Amino acid sequence: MARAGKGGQQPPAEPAAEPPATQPSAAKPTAAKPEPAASQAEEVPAGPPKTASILAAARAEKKRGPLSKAEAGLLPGHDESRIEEAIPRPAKPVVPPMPAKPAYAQKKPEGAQPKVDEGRRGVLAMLSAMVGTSLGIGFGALAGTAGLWSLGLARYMFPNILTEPPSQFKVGQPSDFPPGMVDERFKAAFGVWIVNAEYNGQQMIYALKTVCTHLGCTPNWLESEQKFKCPCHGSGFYIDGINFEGPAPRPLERYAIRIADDGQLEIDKSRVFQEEKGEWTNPDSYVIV
Amino acid sequence: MHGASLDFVDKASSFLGPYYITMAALNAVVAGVLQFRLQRSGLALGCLIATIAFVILGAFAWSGSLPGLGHNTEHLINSLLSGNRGAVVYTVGTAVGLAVLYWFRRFFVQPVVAYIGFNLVMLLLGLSMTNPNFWEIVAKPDNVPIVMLVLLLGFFTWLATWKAVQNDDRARQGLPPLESLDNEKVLVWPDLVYTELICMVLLTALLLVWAIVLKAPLEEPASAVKTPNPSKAPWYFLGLQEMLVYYDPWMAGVVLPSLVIVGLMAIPYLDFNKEGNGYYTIEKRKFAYLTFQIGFLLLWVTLIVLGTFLRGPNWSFFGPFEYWDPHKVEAQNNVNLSDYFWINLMGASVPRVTSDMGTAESLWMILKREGLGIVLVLGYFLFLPPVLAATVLRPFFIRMGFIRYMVMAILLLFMAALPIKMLLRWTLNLKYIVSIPEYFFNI
Repeated sequence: MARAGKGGQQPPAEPAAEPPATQPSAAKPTAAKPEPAASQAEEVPAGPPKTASILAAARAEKKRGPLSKAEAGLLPGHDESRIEEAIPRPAKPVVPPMPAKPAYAQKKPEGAQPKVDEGRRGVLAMLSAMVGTSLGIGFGALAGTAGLWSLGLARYMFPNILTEPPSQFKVGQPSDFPPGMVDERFKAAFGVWIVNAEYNGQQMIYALKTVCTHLGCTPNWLESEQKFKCPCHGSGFYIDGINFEGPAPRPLERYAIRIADDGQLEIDKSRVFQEEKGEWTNPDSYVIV
Repeated sequence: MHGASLDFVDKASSFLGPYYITMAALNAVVAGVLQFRLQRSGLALGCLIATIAFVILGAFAWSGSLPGLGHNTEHLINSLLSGNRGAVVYTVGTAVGLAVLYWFRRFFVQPVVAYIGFNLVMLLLGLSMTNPNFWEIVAKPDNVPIVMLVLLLGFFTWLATWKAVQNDDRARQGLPPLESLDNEKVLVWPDLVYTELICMVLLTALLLVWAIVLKAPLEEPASAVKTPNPSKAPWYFLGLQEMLVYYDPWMAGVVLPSLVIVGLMAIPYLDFNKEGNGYYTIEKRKFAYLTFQIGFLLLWVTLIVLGTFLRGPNWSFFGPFEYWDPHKVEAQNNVNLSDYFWINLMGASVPRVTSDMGTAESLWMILKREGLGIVLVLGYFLFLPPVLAATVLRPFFIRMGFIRYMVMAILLLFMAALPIKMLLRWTLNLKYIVSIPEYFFNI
C-alpha cells in the first residue's frame, strides 16, 4: 500500500515508452528525468544524493542483522512481513533514454570506402605516427633493452672457462694398476674408478663410473669387504661392478678405455657400456693385461 | 659409564640432571593439582613417589654417575634390533604394538594409564641416553625435533583416541557426542585472534631459544668424492628413503608418492560414510580410521623413526645402542624373481639380452625372462579387486559401484604393496618381482 502511494504519482514505465530516437538534442533526456526523480524523494532534491540521505536509506534497510547476541535472542518470532510493510521500499531507479546516435556513428553505406589493405596501412600509419612520440620512444627503448638482454643471455650460455674436465684423459701406464686393485685417484676429478680385476675368467683393466645405478649417489669402495657400497640406500657391487645387494637394479656402468699411442691408458667418458645390454663384451670397454 | 669418555659423561650429566628435575617438577605440580583441586589423594601420592624417584635420578645424573639400562639389557635390545632380523622385529613389533594399543584402547586411553605410560617413556629415554651410541643419535641437532615430534604425535593420538572412546561409549548409551554439548559460539575477534597472537609470540620465543641453544649442523662443503655415510634425507623424507630401499626410483620416488597424494585427494569422493562428522569416533568410522592409521602411523611415521634411529652407515640396520661401524658386514645378497624362477626352479640359465639381438628379439627375451613376475603383478591388480569385491569388501562394492570401488581397491593394493615388498625382501631376499633394467622398469 505504501508502495502504491509512493510510486503512483508517475508510473516508471512511461518515460521509457517515449521513443528516444525522436528526441534530437542531448539535453532533452535530462529534462524528462526530473519528473520520476521528484516522486522518489520529497525531501531529497534533484541532482546527486546527499550523504545524509544515503545514511537515512541505510538505516531504514529492511533486513538488518542483530547488532549483538543479546538482541538476536530478544527478538523471538519477529514478523518479517510487518517490518516490510512499515518500511517504504524505494522506487525502481529510472533509466534515462539513450541519446540519438551522432552522424559519425551512423552505419556507412556499403562500398563507400575501399576495403583493401586497411589493416596494414593502419598499422604502418600508426607506427610512422609513433616515431618520435613518447609512446614510440618508450616501446623502442623496451624492445632495445629486451634485445640486448637476449644477446647477453645467449653469450652467457658460452662461458669463457669450462671447469668441466675433458671427457678424454690419460691415466698412466697399465703397469701402474696392479691386479686386484681399485684405483680411487681419479674419483674426485673425473668420477671414475680404474680397476684391474678378473671378469669372466679374464684379467682386465676397466673404468667404472662412480654413480650408483639406483638413484645416483656416489658409492664408497670398501677395501676390507671388497665391494662398492652406496651410503644412500645400501646398494652393493662386487669389484667387477655387478650389483648383488640392496636395491640397485643393474651393474655399474663402464667407460670406454683403450691404450693410446704412447702406451698410456686413455679413458673416454663420452661412451658408456652397460652390462645388462650385453655391452661389456665390447672390446672398447676393457683392456686385457 | 661403560668406559665412556669423561667428555661424554660431562655432556650427558649436564643434560640429564635438568631433564630428570624437570620431570620431577612436572610430577610435583600434577600431584598438587590432584591433591588440592581434584581431591584424589591416592593418585597424588603416586605422583609424589614419582617426583621423589625423579629427584633421586636427577641427583645421580647430575653428580656424574649416570644410571643406565645396564649392559645386558642394551645388548639384548641391540641383538634384537640389528641386521635383517632387526628390520623384521622392529616392523612387526610396531605393528603388533599398535594393534594392541588399538584393541585395548578402552584401557590405554584412561588418563591415569596414559600418564603412567608417558612417565615410563620419559624414564626409558633418560636411561637410554646414558649410552654414548644412543646419545649420538638422539641428541644430534638434526634429530632432536624428531624425538619431540614422536612424543607430540603420541600425545595427540592419545587425545583423539580418548575423545573417540568417550564418544563411542556415549553413542552406545544413546547420548549425543561430547562435541555437540559444547555448542557455545565464540567470536573470531577477539577470542580466536588473541589466542593465535599468544601462540605466535610463544612459538617465536621457543624458536629463538632453540636456535641459540641447538646450533644448526653445518657440514663441510659438498664434494662428489665424499658422500656422507650414511646419507640421510631430511627427516620428513626418511619414509620415502626407506621406500627406495625396496623399490626402483621410479616406483618409490614418483609413482607411490604421487599415489599417496592422489589417494588422499580421492578420500572425499570414495567415502560414503556420513557418520562421524564433526566429532571424534572410531566405532562409526572403523574402516576409514584403520586405513588412515595404518597408512600414517605404520607406513609413514614408523619408517621415519626407523630411518632416523636404526639406519646407520651403508644404510645397514643397527640396534639403538650399537656402534655405527661402517665396516659392519651384513649378508644382503638380493635375488630377482627371474633368477629364482630360471635358476632354482627350472635349473636353467636366465635368458639374457646380448648386444647382437634385434629389438624384437630382445623384447621377446625380456618377456620370457620376466613372464612370471609380469603375470604376478598383473594378477595382483586385475585378479584381486574382483575377488575382494566378492568376499571381504562386498559391502563396499555394493555401496560404491564399479568405478569408485575399483579406484579404492587399486589404491589399497598400492598401499599394501609396500609392506608386502618389505616382507619379501627380508624373508626371501627378493629384489625385484619384475626387473627390466634395459628399460629402467623394475617393480
